[in-house]
Amino acid sequence: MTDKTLVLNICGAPYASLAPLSALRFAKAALATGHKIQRVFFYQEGVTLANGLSCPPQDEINLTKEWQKLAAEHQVELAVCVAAALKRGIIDAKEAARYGLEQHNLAEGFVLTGLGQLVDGMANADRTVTFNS
Amino acid sequence: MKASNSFDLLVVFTQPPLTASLAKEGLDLSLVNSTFEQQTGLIFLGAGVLQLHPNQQPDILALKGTQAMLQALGLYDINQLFVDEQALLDYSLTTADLLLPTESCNPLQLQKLLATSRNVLTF
Repeated sequence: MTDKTLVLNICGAPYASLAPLSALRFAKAALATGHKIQRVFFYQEGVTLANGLSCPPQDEINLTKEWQKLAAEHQVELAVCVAAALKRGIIDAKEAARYGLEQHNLAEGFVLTGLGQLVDGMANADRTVTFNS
Repeated sequence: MKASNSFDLLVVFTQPPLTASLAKEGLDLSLVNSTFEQQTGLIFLGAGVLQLHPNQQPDILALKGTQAMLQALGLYDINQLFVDEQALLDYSLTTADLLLPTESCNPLQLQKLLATSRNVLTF
């Protein structure tokens, strides 16, 4: 099979849906067979995966950490829709300062960005795969 | 019907208005997609056709509504809106009742649209 460049679009929340877990498993399988994951985009409820304050029980999978690990190992970009994130309380230091908030919670390795990054990804990748709730 | 056109992106609306932020997020994406000069088409399926119902009063529920965004589609060169013919029948609507000009499509035409589009995102 020819190697493909993939973009993953994750729209379902962790724990409330299987979207981030299914996408993680898909990403690992794709990377293992030689495909390239150009970007992972988080939209709608999917943005809540970027909450650096989530603490699932020790004996359960920590999806945020798993994604951070995968991204670091394979240089995968974790792009989070800024409008969807701010609406749901996922915010980085820069946006927190802009909105006069004292806290911020965007997990390390994730970047707040615009929908243009999803559009750019869809336009340039061989395939875009969406994981809905 | 212009369904022979193949789109870079088809955005599919399946949910009725005044529910979640889904339709707004689908419209946001449609507008951004078009500003990147990507051919964008919209499909309204099932209860999604109600997004185009002309007499909505979202302010009564303290909701923002998507009418302004829908009206702005033309300014972004998004003029190809397709509606599910069966859904119109189910809700006793015709294309003339809807907020914007649309093309009514049968299942085969919808299938062709979906099959020829480069990307499809469902909201």
